[in-house]
Amino acid sequence: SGTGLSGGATPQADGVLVVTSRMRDVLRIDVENRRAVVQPGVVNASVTAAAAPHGLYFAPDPSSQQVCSIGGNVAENSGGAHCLKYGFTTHHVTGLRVVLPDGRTAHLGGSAVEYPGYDLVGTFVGSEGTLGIVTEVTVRLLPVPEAVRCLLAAFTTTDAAGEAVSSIIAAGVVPAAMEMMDALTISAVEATVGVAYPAGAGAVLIVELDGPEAEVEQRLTEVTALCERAGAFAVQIAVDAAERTAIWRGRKSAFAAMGRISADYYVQDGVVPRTALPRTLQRISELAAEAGLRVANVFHAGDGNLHPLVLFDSARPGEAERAADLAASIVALCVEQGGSITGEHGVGLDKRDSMWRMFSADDLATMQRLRAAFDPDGLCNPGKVLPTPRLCGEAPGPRRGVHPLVASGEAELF
Amino acid sequence: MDQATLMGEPSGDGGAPTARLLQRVAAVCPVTRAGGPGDALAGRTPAVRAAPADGTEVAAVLAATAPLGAAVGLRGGGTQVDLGAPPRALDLLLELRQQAGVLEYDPGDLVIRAKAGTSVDELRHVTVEHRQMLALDGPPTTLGGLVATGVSGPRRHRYGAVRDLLIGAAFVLADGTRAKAGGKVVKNVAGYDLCKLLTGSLGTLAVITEVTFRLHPLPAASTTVTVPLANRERVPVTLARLRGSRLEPVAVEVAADLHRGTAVLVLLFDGLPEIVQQQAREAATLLDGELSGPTLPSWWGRPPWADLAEPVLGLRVVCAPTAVGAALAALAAFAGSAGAHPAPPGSTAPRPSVAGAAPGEAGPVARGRAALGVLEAAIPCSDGVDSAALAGLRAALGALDGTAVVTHWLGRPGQADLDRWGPVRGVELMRAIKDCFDPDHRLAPGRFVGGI
Repeated sequence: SGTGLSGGATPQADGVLVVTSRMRDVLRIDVENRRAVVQPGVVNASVTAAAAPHGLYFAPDPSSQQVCSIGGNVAENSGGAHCLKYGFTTHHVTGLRVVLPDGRTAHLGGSAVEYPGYDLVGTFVGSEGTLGIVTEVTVRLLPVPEAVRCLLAAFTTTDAAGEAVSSIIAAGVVPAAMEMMDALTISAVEATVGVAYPAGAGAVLIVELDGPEAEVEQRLTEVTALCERAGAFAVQIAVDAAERTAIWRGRKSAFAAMGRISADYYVQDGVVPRTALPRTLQRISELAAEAGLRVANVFHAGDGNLHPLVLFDSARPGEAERAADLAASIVALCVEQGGSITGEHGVGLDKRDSMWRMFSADDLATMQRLRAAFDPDGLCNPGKVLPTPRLCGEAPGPRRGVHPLVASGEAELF
Repeated sequence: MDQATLMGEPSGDGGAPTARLLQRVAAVCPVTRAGGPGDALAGRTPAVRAAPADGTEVAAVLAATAPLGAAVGLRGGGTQVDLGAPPRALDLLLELRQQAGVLEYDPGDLVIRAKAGTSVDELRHVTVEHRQMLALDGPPTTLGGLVATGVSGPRRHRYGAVRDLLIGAAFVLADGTRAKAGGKVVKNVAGYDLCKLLTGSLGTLAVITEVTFRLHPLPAASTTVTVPLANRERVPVTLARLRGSRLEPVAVEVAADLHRGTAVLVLLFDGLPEIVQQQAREAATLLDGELSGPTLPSWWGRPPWADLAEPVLGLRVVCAPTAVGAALAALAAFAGSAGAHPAPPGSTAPRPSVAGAAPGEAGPVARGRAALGVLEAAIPCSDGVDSAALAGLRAALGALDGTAVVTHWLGRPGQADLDRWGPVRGVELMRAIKDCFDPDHRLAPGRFVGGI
């Protein structure tokens, strides 16, 4: 659907762009086995809509789910707010039909959970269109939980909210979702969608619990107590679906709300171990101050997946470049903390040259072996995910020395 | 690819001359000696046996022996070595169990990184101190063995299989290249998911040296509900009733006596004590079962072929989730056909641990994750396995989107090799992947699907 955030679908000038949006049928729903077979152009939310009459739903719920396609979800191994409890796309795909770059088709997996041989379905999910084109996906559906409860807890600092998150996890609770927003995000959201968060909140934490009713009620009491013990000065528990929607409305509009407080913004995606969250947020605010820019933080607190929103105004000279540099520094920081350069948005074009931050030349060469097995001629989405092989010691940065094209007289350097 | 048979000194069951191989390996790996009968892997004795101390030595050994084309076999705990087909060639056995120990564990992150030779039990001792667990309850193996075999146990129902819990790995390729995939965080989509590729690969793509797993909190309480079924045909309707309820067991295990036609379902609930008791009571009422307390049955997580006397055929059957009843019927038909004969009454075979089996009788059994469609069957075959009957079983399972893989068969003299795998979707791609990772087919040659 073109909603990808890493440029994975950016076409090549001399290539063929294959668009699957016309392949948008839900081919069948197998209620008993809790499977659906869908074409890649089916919108994520449409799978749940088709399954809903049977009390079933498709768990991966990226924020773009009203628009993004299943094919895209497979390519990116998309997550969403509820992946803390339910995993991401790879946990919900059991079969694929794919077209390989040489035109052969392959039927991988099916409706069972396992097949003999290598896990080609698991290998294919998240491969960002570089191994082939998906033409049919068999997905797993889950029963709608008996009960869903949601609360919003307000803290004076993100550190306190982080403490609450840690204690909830340590208590053995697996919430369906745990989302955090910092003060800057709160102010933007309040200005945009008219929700009112508790005054003075330096951070808000949204916790959603689902499962059997009795268990959810008990866990809700437990989580409320843990939040208060960590210093929450206000806890709002949604009493009905309307209040639950209201709590989520702010979180779901967080990115768009940046438009209210900034001319432009750069969405970043990085992961750190949960225990590294406090020092990572501290370091991000230091880096932002050094760059003279604001960063609003929205994140999946339960799994350390950050979405720092770097705010800038491209009309001011040099600010866009500073914003891009700051965003890149944040990704480097995530890796330093033992995390990842991308938790959900993928590598695509945007982070291709950051892959070397996480992986050695041998690691990348090994990934290239997999790619070569599927696509020996390099036809499938070339230039994405894997950087071109580097010479030892080569690293991105300002050019040192005269550019060859300048030396040969073919180009001029301003 | 055939192993080059070099002229010269007598060798093991591969082709590379022993003395030269021994010398090359010993030069980079101090703990090396000639192979002996105790080093046999699925019937093949290696010429050389080495126990590399770490990933560096593994890489050095593989690099040093690559020019010889030496065929390599891997052994961790040695408990699952019969899982694949016997190796086509074996010159060098690499022991991996000595590479053990936890490398990184921060309980706040519920993630643990350890050397691949660490046993599951050793890991449990470390994590239980922080009230955490690796939620895999299959046969006790090394962590590397868990990944290489991809075998999990009953708790897969709730917690997932190896593929869902493995988040990072370090490994060595056949040419000595050291690489890693994944990382230390659960949310990570940087690059290809090579951890999925390695899971279940039976040592054919790489030697795994480190693994990173996600952990879960130890539940505060757990209890079981046992539902005895006089007739195996009651399994589907019982499962349907469970599926229609709001109960959320952590495991739903079926154990079926294929000869007598009886079965038992055992549900495991875990979590908050009051909730666990409440769910168990509701389940017992709904399914006409009995509260059976927190103690698990002795067969929990054990491959059933371990309980029966040889010769026994072990099968792993995976089908569409609600086709378990039909799969059990197909297995019973196979067991009762010319393909399988139970040991005669009065034999000294151990009693199978399935409700309803009489002492002294050792009949065919099947156990597994009833709500997922994952079964393991053990079928005594004193007269060998009828390949036509096995093909018939696979045809019947095919209609259930199911497959049957031979997981245990020590063979019988004079019997032609079984088709261990049946039809394999995507086998051409798998061969291409193997050719890219191990072009000389040195790692566990012949042990996997498609001749890999």
